[in-house]
Amino acid sequence: QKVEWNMQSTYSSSLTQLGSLGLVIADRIKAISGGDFVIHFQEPGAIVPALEAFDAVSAGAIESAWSTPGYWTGKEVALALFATVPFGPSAGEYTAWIYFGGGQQLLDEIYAKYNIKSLICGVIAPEASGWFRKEIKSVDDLKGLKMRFFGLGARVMEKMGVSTQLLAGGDIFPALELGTIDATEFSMPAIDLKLGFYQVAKHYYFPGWHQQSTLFELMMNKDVWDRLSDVHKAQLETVCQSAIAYGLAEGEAIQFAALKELQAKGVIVHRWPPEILDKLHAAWDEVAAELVAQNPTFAKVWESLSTFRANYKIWKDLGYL
Amino acid sequence: MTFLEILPLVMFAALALFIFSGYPVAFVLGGVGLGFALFGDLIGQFRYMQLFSLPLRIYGGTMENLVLVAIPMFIFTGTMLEKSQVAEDLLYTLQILTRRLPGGLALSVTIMGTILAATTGIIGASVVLMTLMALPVMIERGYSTPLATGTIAASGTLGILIPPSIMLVIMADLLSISVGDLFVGAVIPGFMLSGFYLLYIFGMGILKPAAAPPLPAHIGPDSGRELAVLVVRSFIPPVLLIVFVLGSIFAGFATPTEAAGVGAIGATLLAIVNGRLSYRTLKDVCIRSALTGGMLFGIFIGATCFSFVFKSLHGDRTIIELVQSVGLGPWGVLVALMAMVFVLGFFFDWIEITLIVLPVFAPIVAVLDFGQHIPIKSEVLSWFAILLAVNLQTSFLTPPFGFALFYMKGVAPPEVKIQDIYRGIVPFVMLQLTGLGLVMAFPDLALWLPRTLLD
Amino acid sequence: MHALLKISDGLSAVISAIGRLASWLFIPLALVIATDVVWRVWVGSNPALTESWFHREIGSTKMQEMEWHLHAALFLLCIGFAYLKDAHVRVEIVREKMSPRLRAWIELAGCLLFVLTYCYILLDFGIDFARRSWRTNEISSAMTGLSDRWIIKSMLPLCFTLLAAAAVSVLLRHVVYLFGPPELRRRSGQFVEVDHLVELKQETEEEIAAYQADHRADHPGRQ
Ligand code: NA
Ligand code: NA
Repeated sequence: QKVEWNMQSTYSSSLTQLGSLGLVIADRIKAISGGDFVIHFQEPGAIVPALEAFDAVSAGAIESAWSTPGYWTGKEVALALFATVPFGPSAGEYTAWIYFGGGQQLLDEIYAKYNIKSLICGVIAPEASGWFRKEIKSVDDLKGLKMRFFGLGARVMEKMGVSTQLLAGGDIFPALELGTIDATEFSMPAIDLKLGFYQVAKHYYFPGWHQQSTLFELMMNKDVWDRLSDVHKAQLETVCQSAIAYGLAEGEAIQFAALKELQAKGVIVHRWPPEILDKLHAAWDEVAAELVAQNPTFAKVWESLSTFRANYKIWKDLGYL
Repeated sequence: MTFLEILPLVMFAALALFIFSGYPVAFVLGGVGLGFALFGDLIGQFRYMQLFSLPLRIYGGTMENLVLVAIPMFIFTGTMLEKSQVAEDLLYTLQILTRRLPGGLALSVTIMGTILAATTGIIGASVVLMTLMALPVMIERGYSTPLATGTIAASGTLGILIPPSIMLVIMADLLSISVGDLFVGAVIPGFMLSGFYLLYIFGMGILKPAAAPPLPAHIGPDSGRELAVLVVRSFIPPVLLIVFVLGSIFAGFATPTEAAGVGAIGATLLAIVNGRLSYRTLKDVCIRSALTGGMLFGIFIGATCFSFVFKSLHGDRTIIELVQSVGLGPWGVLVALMAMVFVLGFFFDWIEITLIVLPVFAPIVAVLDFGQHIPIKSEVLSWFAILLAVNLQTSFLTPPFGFALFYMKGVAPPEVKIQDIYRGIVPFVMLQLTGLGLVMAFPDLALWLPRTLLD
Repeated sequence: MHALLKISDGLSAVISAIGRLASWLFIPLALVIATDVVWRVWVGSNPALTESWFHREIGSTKMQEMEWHLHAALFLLCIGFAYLKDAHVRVEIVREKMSPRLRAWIELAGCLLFVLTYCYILLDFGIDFARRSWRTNEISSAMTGLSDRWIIKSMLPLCFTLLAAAAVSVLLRHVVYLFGPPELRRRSGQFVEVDHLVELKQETEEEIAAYQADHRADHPGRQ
């Protein structure tokens, strides 16, 4: 039978990787099914605003959404662990946990409560740590800093004495320009270059300790998923697996050219000194421990991920150069 | 065209029809939207369950929107300035200062609108503030109502073009290009339009003095000394407030959105200093501001309902097909797009149009080749965005749905009819279209400044 | 008919009281914005404040979220109130030329077909929308924001309840205006009177006189 879905994206299609991967998926599924499985990519806000896609899919108002589980921590804080983890695994290790370490089962368990089925459908390279108006030389420079930050990393930054800001979307750029905020995190060099943050802040920090890799998902209303034929289910799973490979390869391939161009434009690229990274790591351990104590679901997923990572380390330390 | 393709167009027609029944616009929007949703459900083009998206759109788009917080704050500021007579004093002085210029009062309003535009860019706020402060005085001084309302609506709308501007931010986000490029690019077109308005008003003052009468020469004090005292006394409070609001933005203390709240506190302090703040005044200001806010958000909510159903019945596809059916070269496509956006502007507000039009047409526009007209290919998108921005200004002004007109009607004296307001914007829309034509003909108006200042 | 008018007045009094109360939210809203701005400047110049209770427990993100919470509550609670005060924008080009009775019929039809249907559907989904938030104990998706999202989400069904009540109040008034005795018109016709106050009053007075004359003719004994 012919299937036609809407897919509410949480990123605009023009955003390299974050949004464009959603287009790739829509395109691939049409090709692989010979045109009898069509997914219409919808720009953020076209059907519902980006952050409302969860309820819309859950209730069945739309069939599917393109997003990252990290957007839904307001509903279920444990979902943060399926998007990106501060000082967390890189892409290879992360997908290993999802596919072979019990990650997908835990994800299914959590989403089942909301009548949602989610397939991990993309993974991208590390992000940058953010744009700063002034150089950060020590941990003390972070104190009192006003930074736009979102998610688990924001909790870590608060512990370092950073004042995290929400700010309206439209206010971020002028706020950074006028010094209302001192810094903002955004994305990878290839994306940040196009968005022109270098025009208002010159110091660009690496590595993105808060986001070493990021998972993306195709969320579907569970009834809609259950009604799919086995062939269509297999097609979707295959497209998602290929999107993981595609997104990772593309993400690794496009950053250096962007970095070269940013440096040519006078951006000063920094690496965090080890002592700052150590402090951030310690702060993250505190935040994680708090969340484990507060939330049983978070504790369960954290346990699974930590056990997997401890075991993986045996292999990682020996196997890699 | 099939029946299903025509359905969204029928929606427009139904909307226009019911609007003229005189029933509140907010409810007509919501009611017509839902009517077509239920009809769509009946003929199998829509599922009732899809309407669950409505609370999500209201919540995510309107309630959770921090930028919108600025609107009631500026309504509050404007009402407070009015009630505490600060505005009255200021305009009185402005009248005296411009009494010898043809159309002097309207010129001062335009200049004030331009200043407000460069500070916030919140259309509702500028229009409300200026309507409260200037419209009663202009009418009292014998200005023709359409000229007075047109001047205020058009100069209040400049804020969406002159940076900082939320519209440019959203365009940059949708196109994934630099906000900075668009901000800087919009500066020349924005001030150019402001200049056109000034010229037009000055011209009207000379050619049709009955519509924009110079003030009687005998008003105000005769001696220079008395005049100086008057100027200082009436200018200090509002200038302080403007310094307070602008200063907090440019010193990096507050974002443009927050500055609205700072302004509200400042206006209240001024009222206290003037000895005009009583419990009753405060209560009146709160209730009047709340009624205006309730009216506006009623329209926001109705509009999101209408446009959601329009989109769900594939109105966007109908529009795209209309443009593609034209089948012209790059200039043909561009002109067709601009004409379509202009027409859409009668019915939708800029945010809906931006969301529908930009993502769909940006890829088409990006590959259009304008040859030597735009030699640097990567600049085509920026140019297109600025053209769209200039064009979308008109959507605030064109009836039946022009948010600037609604903002104005909400706070105008009751004798000002919405049809006076409709008549008043016509010449200003013409000027905006002239501006659009110029930026099309001379892309450097939008591209030269970013090229020079940035990179 | 008197009873209908009484119900309408009662509804109107409740909605107006809520609206008046909500309008005071402007004050805390402005104060929260000011506090956030001042706090941010102060923290920037004195980083030691990041050790303070205020920074740990409140902080900028929570204040910024509180801003839109207050703002949303403010306008949602006032949409129905604005209808009762006839503050919603109307396009009057054609309306001006209509007779007061036609205007009353339009208002009646509008309440039934537009507002009440609209409220029914938004309540149908809006209650589910708020309940989902309640059941999942939803918090801010910014990890440093406010908890208990259900409170602000419940404002949405509350808004449409108030709007529906306002529409019922207006509806009853127009039923009285159209079908009730003329002497009640002055009290029931506030919406149709808006633009044609003088002519309407005249017309009403003439009709009252005619009505009384008719009744005198019908029941000569009941002077
Ligand atoms: Na502006
Ligand atoms: Na319009």
